[in-house]
Amino acid sequence: MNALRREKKERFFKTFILICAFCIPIILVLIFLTLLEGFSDAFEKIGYRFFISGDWDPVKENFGSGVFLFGTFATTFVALILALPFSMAISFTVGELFRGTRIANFIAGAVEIISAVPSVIIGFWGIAVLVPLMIELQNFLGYTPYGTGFFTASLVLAFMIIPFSASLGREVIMLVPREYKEAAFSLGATRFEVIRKVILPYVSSGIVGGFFLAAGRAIGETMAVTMLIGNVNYLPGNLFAPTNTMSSIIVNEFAEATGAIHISSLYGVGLVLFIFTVITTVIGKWIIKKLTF
Amino acid sequence: MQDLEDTKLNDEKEIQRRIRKSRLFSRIMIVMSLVTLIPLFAIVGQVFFNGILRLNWELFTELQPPPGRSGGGVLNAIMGSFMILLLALVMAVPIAILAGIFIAEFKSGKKSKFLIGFIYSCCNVLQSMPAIVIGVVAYTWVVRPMGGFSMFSGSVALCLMMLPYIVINTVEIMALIPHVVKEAGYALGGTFYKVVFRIILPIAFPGILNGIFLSLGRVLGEAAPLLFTAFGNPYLSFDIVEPVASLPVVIFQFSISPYQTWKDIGWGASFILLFGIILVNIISKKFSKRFSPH
Repeated sequence: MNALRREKKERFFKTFILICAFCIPIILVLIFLTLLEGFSDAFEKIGYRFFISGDWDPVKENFGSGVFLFGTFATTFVALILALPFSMAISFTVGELFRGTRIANFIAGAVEIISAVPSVIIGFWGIAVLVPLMIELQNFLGYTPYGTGFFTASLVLAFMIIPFSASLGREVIMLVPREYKEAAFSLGATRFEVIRKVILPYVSSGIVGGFFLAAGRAIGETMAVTMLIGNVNYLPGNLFAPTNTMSSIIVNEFAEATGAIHISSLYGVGLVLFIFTVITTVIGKWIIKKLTF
Repeated sequence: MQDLEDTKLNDEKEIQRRIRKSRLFSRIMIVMSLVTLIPLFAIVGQVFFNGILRLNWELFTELQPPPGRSGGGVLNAIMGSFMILLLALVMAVPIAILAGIFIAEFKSGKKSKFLIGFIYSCCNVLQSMPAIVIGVVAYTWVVRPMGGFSMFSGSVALCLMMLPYIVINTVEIMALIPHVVKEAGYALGGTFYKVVFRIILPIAFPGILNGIFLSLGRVLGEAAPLLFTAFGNPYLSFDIVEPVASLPVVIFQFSISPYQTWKDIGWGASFILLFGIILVNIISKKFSKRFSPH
């Protein structure tokens, strides 16, 4: 009798934790369905034009997310280009060139702290310090001195993804088998040559995977970008002009959206964010997983 | 003979060239790494210096001042953040740990490998989900049916953000526990339930706690999920079904406002927030050191 009760308790417990574990995929599916359902009204009215048109007009109830799609992807792209050299430098410095030294540990720790600083504080600093600097720069270069705008947001975004891509780079560099490196050193290669001829070819696909994952993070970055992008629903006329991204338009307009189609369109923007997060995460992790075999 | 001498000299020059190139590369790499840290020091320094000036008794005990009036503090935000996080922890930790136990236990099954991989991928995706999307979804799930903003909806949003971190961390910690411990438990006649709760969890506890603190530190600074859920409240509120202020949201609101007095308070609030996050990270590091598997 005791054994029967124990058996029942066992099964109950196992089922219970199974349900808990399944909560995660269920939550994702629910998020997807919620966004889909929220978008359905606007999609009925506007259709696929929603993703192409750059016309975001709450008055005429004609919503096109083109500006924000461009804003998000362009800022992510520029941010990645700006960040990649520096995060690679950090990965090389900490993971290989100066590994184990005090200065490498200092750099590694400090870079971790960057990722701990909340987005709002970085945005706040951006408004207080970066924007005046950008106004100076724009005056100097002859552009209209908005201060906030595409480049300002991209700069800050680049800074924010450096820790993530640097740690990915470091993980991937540590995967290189010691024997390969030591063989190269024993043949007389310099550190630079070992990096170029042994490490880089080995981790190149890992770097691409890390690129995807970092892009996924950058796409979703919200607060700092919102505070520094200028919040203008048009494509930027030049590198420094203000514009908007998918996440910033939701922040700005969701709480005060007028009309069902307006809100529904914002759900649509959220849906695009969701889909791109899933795609970049899955592809990125898959590429890196292939590397670990 | 002269030829041999010449080639040897050329070889040596070549080697020197390569060594110099390598040294230059190393120097450039480390300089670039240090340059990356300049904005970090600028930001932290700014928060520190501006914030410390505002650090006074008022900041911790007063509520939001009307625009234009000096003085006032962020007590409402501090208490609000604290309460939202506490509630979120209570909601997230049990489910996340149990989910982690399930994944860790059945990770090695032959039949369940695909399923476990799928669930784990879902964790990764949820972890990278933009905070604003979580905010919109929490709004739809909680704020709309409830008819208004509330602390509860904010906690739900933060709970959603914490879940994947704690699950992934739990799985990693469980993987560190040697098989023999588990098998010894089973050999003594323990059921799965008992082995988990009496043997595995006590060993894994410090690591899991560390993960909880880390996820706390991560979520402490999030404003986006709270914008449409907990929303904000200029008054001190302890009511779960009422909107409540939080530090990140208050910093956001103050920083984009045109009032210098509010911006000043914003620096003080930023200091408190940053300090809180660093504190949480230090505590979690202390935990993982004290209880690390010996």
